[in-house]
Formats: sequence, structure tokens, C-alpha cells
Amino acid sequence: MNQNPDDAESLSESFVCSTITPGFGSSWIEMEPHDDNDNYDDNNDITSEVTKMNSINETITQKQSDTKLEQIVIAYKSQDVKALCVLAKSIGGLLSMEWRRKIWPILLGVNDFEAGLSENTDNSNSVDSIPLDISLLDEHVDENQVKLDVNRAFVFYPPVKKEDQDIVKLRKTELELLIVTVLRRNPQLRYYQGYHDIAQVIYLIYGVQDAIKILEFISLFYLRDFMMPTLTPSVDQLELIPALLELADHSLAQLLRETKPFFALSSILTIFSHDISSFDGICFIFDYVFACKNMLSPLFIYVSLIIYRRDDLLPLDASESDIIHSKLSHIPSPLSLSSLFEVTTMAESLIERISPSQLGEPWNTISPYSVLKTTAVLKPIGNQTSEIYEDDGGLLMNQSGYMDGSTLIINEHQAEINNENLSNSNASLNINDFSDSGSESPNTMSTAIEEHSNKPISPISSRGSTLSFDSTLHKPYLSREDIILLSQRQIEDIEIREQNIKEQQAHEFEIRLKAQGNKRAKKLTNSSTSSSSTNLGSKPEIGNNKLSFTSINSMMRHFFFGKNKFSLAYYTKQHLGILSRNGFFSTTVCIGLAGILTAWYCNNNRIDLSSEMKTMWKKFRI
Amino acid sequence: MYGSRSTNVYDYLFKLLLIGDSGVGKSCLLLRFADDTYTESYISTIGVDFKIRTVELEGKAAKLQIWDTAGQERFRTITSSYYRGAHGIIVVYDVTDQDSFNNVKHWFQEIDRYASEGVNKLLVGNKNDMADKKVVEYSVAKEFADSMGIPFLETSAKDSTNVEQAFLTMARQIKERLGGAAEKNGGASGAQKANVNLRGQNISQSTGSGCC
Repeated sequence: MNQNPDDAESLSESFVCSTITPGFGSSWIEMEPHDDNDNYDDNNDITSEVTKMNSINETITQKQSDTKLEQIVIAYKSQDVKALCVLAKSIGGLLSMEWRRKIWPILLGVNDFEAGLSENTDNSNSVDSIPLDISLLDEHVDENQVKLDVNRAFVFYPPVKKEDQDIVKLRKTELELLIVTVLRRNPQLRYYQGYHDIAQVIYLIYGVQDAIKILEFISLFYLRDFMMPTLTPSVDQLELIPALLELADHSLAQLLRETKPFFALSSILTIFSHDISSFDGICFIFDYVFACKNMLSPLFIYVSLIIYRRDDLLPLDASESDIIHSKLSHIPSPLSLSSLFEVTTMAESLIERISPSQLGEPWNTISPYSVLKTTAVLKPIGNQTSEIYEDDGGLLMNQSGYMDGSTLIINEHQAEINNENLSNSNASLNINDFSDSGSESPNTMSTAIEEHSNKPISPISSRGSTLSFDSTLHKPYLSREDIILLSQRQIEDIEIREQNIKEQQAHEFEIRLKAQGNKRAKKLTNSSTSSSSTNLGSKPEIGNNKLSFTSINSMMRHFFFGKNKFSLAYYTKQHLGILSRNGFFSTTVCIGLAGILTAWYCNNNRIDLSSEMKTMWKKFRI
Repeated sequence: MYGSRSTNVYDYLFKLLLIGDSGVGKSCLLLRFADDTYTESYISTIGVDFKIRTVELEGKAAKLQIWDTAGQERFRTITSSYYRGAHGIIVVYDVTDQDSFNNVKHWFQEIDRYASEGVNKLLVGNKNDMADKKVVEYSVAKEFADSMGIPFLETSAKDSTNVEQAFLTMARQIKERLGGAAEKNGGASGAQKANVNLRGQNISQSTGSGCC
């Protein structure tokens, strides 16, 4: 981290421009045939890696590669996002590091990214727009873990000769710098093991400086769920896999019915970069996911991968969950580019066939703030609507389904609806149900964008309302501020949910204890109670009163310190509802407390009680 | 790994679990024991996975299914769900990292919280080959282990020191504890079945003592 930036820069560039650098150059990364593999013959691992690469490269002939390259050049020059998406999803994806460098920002929608990128990487002076000095930023809580994981990075690629270990050291230093920079800039995000695998790919493509912006963007928009304070949102995502599989392949779903979907953890958390050992393979998956613009796509790919391995799996017995877990958690290696393309083609057809609303409970469990429901959201263009966003203090979402082309809230009509909702119920949750407007919004949205951009835009097909929504609508995403707000909401959301679950569990356990009434069980309660409290970061204590007290504490904290006016209704509903149901507090106390808090809060903030609150009041009285 | 399962003939099936802070060398210990290999460049473990090795204990074949876990705290929600099925849990720390030793007691608390009662425990201080960087003295760790009544070993996955002993110590203890109950009945029953029998025995024993 404290290395001389000049050294770091020049070496990083030597890697980025590796097409001209012998030793660790184009041979492992470009799709073109290569004969400089002799370099690696002194290292067995690397030889096998190169052999692997060769076998993958064989799947695309030179001629095909050339033709595709031409198409990429044309699409890039004309900034044809739709064509670029198609090319990214086709076999081999965007073919080379060079094109990924240029096209990923376009697919992702990192605005003005190109402007910040150095055109000529040979000139070290041109890369100075992104600050690498993080000494002014506060240390991030997870930096030690980053160090540990970065130490274990660069295992499978790029190939390095034994005597070139210095370059590996430098890469590790730079990778750590990259991750720490993004984390320090976004202290609300937590680091998880596996994030370094994604960062490693981004680093290898962009070099440390340019990678910061891309990695930060991906973290905020795509990996946010995994970077919450707890693993819950990640597990929520995994729970969609059995549900998806049930719709895609019933007999395989039956086989997996007794196995928890934790086998998919590393693949989903790292967008397969932890489990696919070939760099080309990983890059192709990234091409595909970025072109899809939705974090559901890795889940669809995963399910397709299970189906792809159907013949291997079906002989197993559903009761052998350990074996199934082990088998599934190892992706067969090496997986050639053509195999991966088969998998993504299958994913594509599943995406077209299955709508997330069909997934039932697991989908409903997903937080409205999850990346699954917010990726590919477009921010309204123009001052009017964005003002409403700010007033609203949050983002509009379609609770019933995707955050995609069909639910993009962009036209003024919807903004008005929202405005009305706001004035009518200030204290209600700001997640408005636009399920009915979903079918009509794509066109209106296109029009809205057209007005603002003065560019002709083709309307989205109704089919494209899933992941593959019209790429030409690729316009500014939510701003950084929006997304930070979103992640704060998401954190609050998780806190409440986990608190509620734990309280309910504790209560159920209590009941079970009373029924059993034996000593050993009592001991267990103590430990389970303390565990739930520890996880929440408060001191463990036992008993009903403490549990209630924790909830009230948390509620008060949000009332008094949360600047979000909607937390009032939400927290009151969640906490007091649970408390009174479980009998931790008498209903009267709940009403009394809520009344005092509400009166105080509303008075201070000049808020009228919403209709929702009134309904809730009535409910409490009954 | 699983390919050899059906051909293996074994008398016992023991499930072991490796836990401990991130980077202490859990995966390397397992790799050394199961495949007798070691690599400096090993990747981080995300989630849980297991390897199998069958060992001989007093003339009986014991199949050890050893689960390796991610060390980062945020994964504990997942890893803890594997505690209950384990017959033995090995807590690993790094002798060159004081923090990893300080956290050992938290890991034992996790065991008390999630594992079956009476589960066998073992404390292992890994990376003992790095003598010049060693900060956790044997005597300190030994004293701690003794106070908890838990066996303790210092190991090195790199030079193989005590790795066999660590896993075999654990296996022997489990065998002693479960006695004949752990013996696999019938010939071709799978891993799950043997395990159900084991756990069934274990649970009935503990509830029996609870009633007294």
C-alpha cells in the first residue's frame, strides 16, 4: 500500500499493455493462436494451464475470431450497445482484454468512464484522474481480511515463470490497494471472502487505477447484497436456486431437495470467478452478466450449470446431501468456452421462460433493496423527477417483479403518482406498487428517454421485460448517492428482519423449553439467546425483558437517529407488532410507547399520521 | 473424492470439522492429511467443503469425512449449521498469529452453542515450522487446552509434522467415545445411514442422562 506509486503504475501498465510484454503476455489472454508457450515449459503448473488455454481456444477458429472482432469494432465505433450485448453473450464473449477494457464500462453504464480512461497507457502521466492516495480516508474494518485473501490470489492465472515471482508480489500489493481503496471510499460496504476474486479479474483487465471506478461501480450495483453486514441477503439469493431449478427441471430439483443450496455460495458470490479456473472462461461469464445487466443472471447460469451436469448428478441419492453438496460445489474443470456457451445459452432460454414472480416465497423474501430487484434500474432523467426522488428519500420499486425495463420509473405520470402517494402518506413505506403499470411503462419510458436524449430508441419488446431488456435504453443508472441511500435502507431492512427472526426463534424456543422443562434445555437457551444478541453487536443477556429491551433500543435508535421518516411506520409495525404478538410486552405498553414516540416524532417533523399507522393503531387496540 | 466412496469398505464413518480464523491453514492441513500434498499458493475457502480419507484404527477401517470451513466471521451462519452433524471438531490457530490464538475461545463457544453435546474437540497450533515468527508459545497453548480438558498439538502442514497425529488422535477419541455404537451395521449402507445410526445413539444417550 505504501509502495511508490510511480513504480506501481509503470508495472501495472506493463501488465495492462501486456500484449507487447514478453513473459506474461498475450498468450494466456488473447483469443489469437500463439506459439510462445515454450516460455512456460519449465513450470509444470503453467504448462498445464497453457495447454488448457489452448484447448479452449480451439473452440473458436481464427477465422471466426476475426469475423467477430470486426463486428465488435463496428459495434464499438458506432456505440451500438445492443449489438455489443449480443456480441458479449455470443461464444467467447468479447474475445480479448483490450475489448473488455473498452466495452465493459459501456455494458455496465459507468458514465463518462471512457473520459477518465487513459487512451495511451504507455504515457504514465495520462493516468492521474483517480486518486490512489487513501491515507486520508479512514481505515476500513475488513482490511486485515483483505490482506489475508490477497495473499492467496493469482493462483490459477496469469501464468508466471518461477523466477518472476516479483511480478506476483507487485500484483498482490496493487490488488490490495485496489480493494482497500474501494472499501475506504464506501465504508457502508463490508468485504467478503471471494470479493477479491472478482477484484482480481477487474484488476487484470484495467490495472489498479482504472479498476477503482469499475470495481466500485460493480460493488455498489451488483455485489451490494453480498457486502451487507451479514450473510443473510446472500443466503436469500441462494434460496432462489432450488426454486428456479424446480421450474426448470423438476427431477433434479427433487434430487436436491434435502441439500441446502450452500454449494452455490462461492460461485454466486464471486460471479463464478472463484470456481472457474480459466481466465477466458471467467471473462466470458462477466461479459454475459454485464450484458444482462441483472444479478439474477448468475443464478440462472448456476441453475443451467446444474442441468448441464444432469447425467452426473441423477445417479446420486437425494439422501446423500453431503455428496451432492461436494459434487455441486466443484465446477468441472476445465470448462471449455463452448461448454460455458452451452450453459449460458441454456440460461438465456430459462430467463425468457421463467419470470421471478413465479418463484413464490423465496422471491418475496428478497428485500426490495436487493440488487436482484434494483439492478438495471434507470434513474429518471431531468430535474423534476430527480427532485421527487430526493423528496421521497428513496427509490421506486415494483414489488411484484423485476427492476427492469418494464418497471423503470421514469415518466412524469408515475412521478406524479408517487408525489401523490407521498403527500397522502408521508409515514408510509416508500415502496409503491406499480405492478399494474408494468406492462405499459416500457414504451412511455422509451419516449421519456427519447425526449431527453433526442436519439431514436426502439421500444422494448414485451418479451424483453426480463433480463434481456432493450440494451439501447442504456442510460444513466442511479447515482452514487442514490445507491448509497439504497444500501443504507437495505442494511436497516436486514437488521429488522434478523431481529424479528431471532425474537421469534427465541420465543418458540422458550415455548419448547416450558414444555420440556428440563435442565439441559435451559442451558441451551442461554447459549442461543446470547448468540442472537452477539450477532447484533449488543451484549448478550438472557430473558424476555432483555429481548424486548433490545428491540425497543433498536427502535428508539432508528426513531431518534434515523433520518428516514418512513422508519417510524416501519419500525413500529415490525417491532411492536412482533413484541405484542409474542407477548414480551403487554399490548398496552406497546401502544403507550409507540404513542409517545410517534407523537414526539411527528410533532418534531410535522408529520401527520398515515393511514397505515391508523390502521395499525386499530389493530393494536383489538 | 466421492468417486472412491462406493468401493471403500469401512467400519466407521466419522465426520470431522475444521474451524478457526481465516488464514491459519485449515485447508492446507486437510490437503496434507487427505492428499499428502502442500502448496504455498492455496486459494481461500468460501463456504464449506469436505475431503475423505480412510484410516485404520486398531484393525478397523475408519472413514474420515473432514469438512473444511471458511474462516471469515460472516460465513459463520453457514458453517455453524455443519457443527451439529460433526463427531469431532478441530480448532486451528496459527502459532505466528496471536489474534488467531486469542480467538480460539470464541471458536470453542461456537462449538458449545451449535455442536452436539459430547462432541470431541482438539486444539491445533499450525505453521509450527516458522520457528522465527512463532509468537504463541507451546506452554501457553498447552495450559489453555489443559484447562479446558482438550488435547493439543502443534502441527505444520508444510513439513507434515503432527498432521497425521492430529487427525488420528481425533479419530481414536471418537471411536472410544462412541464405542461399538459407531460400528457400521450391514455391508453396503451409505454414509448417511451410518451417520444416522451414530447420531441416533448419541442423542439417546444424552437425553437419557438429562432425565436422571
